Amino acid sequence: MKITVSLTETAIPARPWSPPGEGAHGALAEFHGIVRGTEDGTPIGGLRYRAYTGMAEKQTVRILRELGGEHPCHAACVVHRTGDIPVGETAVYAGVAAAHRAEAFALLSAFMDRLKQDVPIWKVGVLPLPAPDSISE
Amino acid sequence: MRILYFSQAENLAGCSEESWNGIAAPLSEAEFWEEAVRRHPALEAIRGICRVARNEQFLSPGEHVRPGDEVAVLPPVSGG
Repeated sequence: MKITVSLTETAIPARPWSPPGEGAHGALAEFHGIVRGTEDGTPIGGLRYRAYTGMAEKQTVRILRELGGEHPCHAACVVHRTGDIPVGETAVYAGVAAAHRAEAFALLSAFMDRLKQDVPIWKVGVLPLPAPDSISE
Repeated sequence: MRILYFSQAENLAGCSEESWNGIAAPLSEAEFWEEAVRRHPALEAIRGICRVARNEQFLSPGEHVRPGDEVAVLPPVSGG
């Protein structure tokens, strides 16, 4: 399985990845984890993430390789943003290409569960709502 | 030995990293924690919920950390 992993401090675009091998895939499953506008019921402006970058990238590759043995897929891409992420923007993108949807969905779902257990990335702070006079009309 | 502290561990240790220059022998995970808590007593509060990584891999049962290693104290993660 071709694996692409990166951490970035810049915004993740709506379509950050196209799987290699056009014509080989019958399924492309994608997930965007997006910063919600509330934290514990309180409106927020965003979240601040910090990562142990080198280990986070290596650990993500290890997990994808392991899961690829259980759910054979052609390619996977994970991009996790760190630093300050405003509400509504993507914190994590994961894409999986496979011959059929069952493997793609299974790997994507299993990976997201493992990300939240075994990849050293943390939400370390909440960003306040922008001051009213800083919101452009 | 270079020690990295993340998230709550950074807050409780009061630093994100430090060097343990006086360590000459390998340390078991328990011995590592004894030294970490001796230096930063507040870490005792999260000792039971943190994992330790050695050179960017989770420490395996029975594995020791060694002089020259990069060792990280990792509280429960919250990415995604």
